[in-house]
Amino acid sequence: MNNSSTLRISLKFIIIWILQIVVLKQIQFLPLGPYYYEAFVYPLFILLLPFGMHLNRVMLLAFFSGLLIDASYNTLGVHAISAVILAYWRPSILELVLPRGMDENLTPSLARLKFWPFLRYVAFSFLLYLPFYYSMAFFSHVFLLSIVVKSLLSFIVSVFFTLILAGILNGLD
Amino acid sequence: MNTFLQLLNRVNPRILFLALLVVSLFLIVQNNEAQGRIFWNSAGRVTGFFGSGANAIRSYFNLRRENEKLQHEISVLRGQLAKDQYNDQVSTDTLQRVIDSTRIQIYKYIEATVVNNSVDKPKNYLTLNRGSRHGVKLNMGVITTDGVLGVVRYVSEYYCVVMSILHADSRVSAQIRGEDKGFYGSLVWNGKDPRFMQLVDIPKHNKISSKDDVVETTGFSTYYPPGVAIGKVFYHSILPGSSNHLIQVKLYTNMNNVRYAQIVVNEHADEINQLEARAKDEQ
Repeated sequence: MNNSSTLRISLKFIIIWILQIVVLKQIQFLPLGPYYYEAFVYPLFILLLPFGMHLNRVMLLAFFSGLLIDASYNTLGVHAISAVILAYWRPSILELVLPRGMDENLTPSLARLKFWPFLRYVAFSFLLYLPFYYSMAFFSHVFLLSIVVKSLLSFIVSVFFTLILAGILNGLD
Repeated sequence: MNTFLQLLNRVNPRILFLALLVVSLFLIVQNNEAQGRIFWNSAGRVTGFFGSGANAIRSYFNLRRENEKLQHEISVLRGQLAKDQYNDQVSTDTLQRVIDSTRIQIYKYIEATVVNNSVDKPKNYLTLNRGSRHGVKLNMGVITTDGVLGVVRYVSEYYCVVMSILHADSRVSAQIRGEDKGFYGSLVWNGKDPRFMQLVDIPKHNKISSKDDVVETTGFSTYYPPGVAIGKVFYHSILPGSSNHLIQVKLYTNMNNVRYAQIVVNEHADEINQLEARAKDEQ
């Protein structure tokens, strides 16, 4: 990993963090009955890490980026643990989406994967990430219905905004 | 930085993954109120479940010791019950009953409760809960409200042992009540039936008229005051070749369930005994 890729990763994180905290955090999506939900795009930071980056490093970056998001959402640890989960299974999801693999210095971006494979990549990731995130947020099986409904609602808006953001970040690739 | 990254690459991803999960969970539970409450509640339930199981097992093994402890506790508590405590109070009005200066009190009474008794042996004794501390002395008589019990033979600080009238060596000076009667003899026990005693030594020339004549104490001894009814004549006979009546006396007192007694304090006992001892010496 050279300096320019480090710089690009940092830049991506800053842009993602700004969109998450400054924009999406302020948006109140139309609730479905009692179920309020949020849009999360910062997992894209984990998704866009280089293909061949060592898993340990991915997990550490996920952990700390999650902690930074947690610091803003005042949910210390909840995003961090979800991000670590996503990071740990990211290779499996990538293998599912890209059976042939790719150059390990490249990033699995929207431009490189094309739209549908990238959408599948993001969709699988959020299907893993969101239920786990809401499970950690509620922390009890008693709220199973809330966890499922909120995960689905959040899934729609999260994937939508993540795709838009991925389009914007194409220029940094 | 590079050495850190090289070191990082050498760590097993699975271990790092689990470590990060643990750290994150710790952060969640520590810093989020709702999750923390749920966590500690569940943790409390889990440890409570295992804890109560372990506790049940431990208490099973402790049963014996617990039992012993409870037994000890019971005996301590039992000792605090009023009925198990020694009532040290002697009502003093029975001891100081001077009516006027010309009448001198001879007999005083000490209330006592029977704490041990027997009627089934040839030599029976009773134990009373009064002793030297309350003025009980050797050779004091003991009566009840409807008869006599015996004579004090042993005295300790709190207790005295009374030789029952149901004793092979017991002799009570007794007489038939009545103006024209007053024949006296000795009331003894033949060791058979605790309901009956035998009035002996009454010469046969005295007429025992009625079957229901009352037998009372004579007051000749220093043990009992005169006129304490003991029982009534049940039947009388004269054994062939004997010069005396044999009178069966049915006791008023059921010696088997006697509970309360009065110990007779004869204020003049010492004087009488000394005088009689002097008379005996001269014989």
